[in-house]
Amino acid sequence: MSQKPPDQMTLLVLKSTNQVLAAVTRAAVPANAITKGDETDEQKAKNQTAELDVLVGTRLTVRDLSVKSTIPTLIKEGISFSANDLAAVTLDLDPKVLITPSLYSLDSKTKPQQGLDPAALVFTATVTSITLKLPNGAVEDTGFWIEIYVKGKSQPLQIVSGTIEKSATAPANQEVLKSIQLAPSTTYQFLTFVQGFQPLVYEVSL
Amino acid sequence: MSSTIDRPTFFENQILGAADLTATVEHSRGQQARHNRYLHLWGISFGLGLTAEPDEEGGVKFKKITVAAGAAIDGTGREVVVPQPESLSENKFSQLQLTGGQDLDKDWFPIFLVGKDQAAQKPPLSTKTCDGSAPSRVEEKYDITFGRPGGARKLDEQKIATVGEGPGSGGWQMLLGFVQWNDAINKFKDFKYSDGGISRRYAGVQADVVAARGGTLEFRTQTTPQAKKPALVLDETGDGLLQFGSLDAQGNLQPVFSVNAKGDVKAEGKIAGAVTPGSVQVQSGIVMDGLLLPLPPGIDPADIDSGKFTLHSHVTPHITADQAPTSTSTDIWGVVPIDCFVDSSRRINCKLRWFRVDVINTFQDRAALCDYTAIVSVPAT
Repeated sequence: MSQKPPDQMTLLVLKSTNQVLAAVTRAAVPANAITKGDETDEQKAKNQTAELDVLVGTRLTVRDLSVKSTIPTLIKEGISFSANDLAAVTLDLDPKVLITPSLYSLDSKTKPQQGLDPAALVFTATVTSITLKLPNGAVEDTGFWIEIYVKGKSQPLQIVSGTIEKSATAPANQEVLKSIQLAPSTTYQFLTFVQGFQPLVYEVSL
Repeated sequence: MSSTIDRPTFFENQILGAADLTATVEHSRGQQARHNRYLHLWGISFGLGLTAEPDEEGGVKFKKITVAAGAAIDGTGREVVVPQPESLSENKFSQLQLTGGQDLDKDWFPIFLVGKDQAAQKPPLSTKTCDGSAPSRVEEKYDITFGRPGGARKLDEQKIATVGEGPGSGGWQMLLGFVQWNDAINKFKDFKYSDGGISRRYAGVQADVVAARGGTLEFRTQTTPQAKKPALVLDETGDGLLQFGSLDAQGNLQPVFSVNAKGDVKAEGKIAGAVTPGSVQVQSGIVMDGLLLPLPPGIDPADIDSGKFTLHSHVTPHITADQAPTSTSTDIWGVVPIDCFVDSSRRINCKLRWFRVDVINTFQDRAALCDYTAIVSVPAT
């Protein structure tokens, strides 16, 4: 018996940051999983919905997400993402990406790139706001997605997301401030995804 | 209109009037129109392509658009011939005043070819004719005109000739394409062949039987064989063979799908779509903890959930050294599976316990990948 090894993989990515969250290979890849380039927007959306229905259902729970920090409880319990926030992308197989998908994100050419060390990011939080600063001005529009947890809890209080636009006037092309409402004398964990960087959990006591 | 089709006939020493000769011409003309109308579908039969030459006026870019020479058959069976290339007239477009209330950045205006009869001028030095005599020729001319956006949707609502009628005197609109207009400089911005799902129409054939003479019937998407264009060929090889594929540079078919007279099907690609009743469909690969078990292509998860199809699955942990918590050469890791199963909602649960062989009581539990096989049996009925 001969067997042709899979030569493609499908990555489940967080749409707002292109962070890869999970991966799968299929010996028989459905025809609608592969983008041909001539699909209408409507057809693309239909194909995406079909792929997410088959691979994710309504939610994807990612357990043991690789983060550049000590592993907090929330990571062990699993991070749950709505299928509406995800995209399925089928690419040529890269075994490294398949084995450790959450170390990678997709670049502007939909190619997996290992995320940069998030130590270069600057994150601050107060009871009324959070601030995220990139090491330099954005060279391309940079999405971010921050889930805010009370330490020890596994359900997020709030999710803050957006884009740092490269065309924005400095310092808005490097830094973003978001208003929030947090309780004083509480320790929070901020699971932070920034496009092009590996995920990180910041822990802040207010 | 006459209730019968009259064919002129003549006898020796007959004095022929103009009506007799005209009836001879009209009989053939009516016959040809009915052939065109009932054995063909109206549209472009040759040429009439559009080309654009970029130009500029006062710093504003525009295009000069030309209709190539060609021919078409209209819905009355009339042949319309454009003998020479003809530029689209900006003056005519302006005079039609079509742009009121239109969004000129988005809207496209249809271009129509319309056949028409026009009496030719009398020759200036004709002999033996009275001053009141009629011209002795009718020119079969044409107009290239324009419509409002959306006007091309009404092409099939034009008045259809009755069976006995000839081609009439013209007026049937045939779509050549669409133009966009710049009102500031009264010039065309661009053209295209399709808009809103409506395209220029080519002449077709109405037939209930298509029969070849040489034993091979070929369908292709271009009038001349072109490399990499698709074609379908039915021939008598081995008592009958139907082949689909693309043509090579020599015009030979490179089949990717064929079926012979015995019913043997050969396909180079994948067969997708409706799942064959009474079949077994299989999917396999590697999947991450947390995802749903991937199903074979074409299997609707609802059919599994409803019990219509039966799913059989098998999963085993996919373990590689790359997955160890640390990869330094001094750390020696062992691994045992904690969980590896597919739950009732088809979700993968796969967790491994990595333990340090060289350090007692040091371990990490981690979500992992697993190898899977999904087999779906589709009932015969």
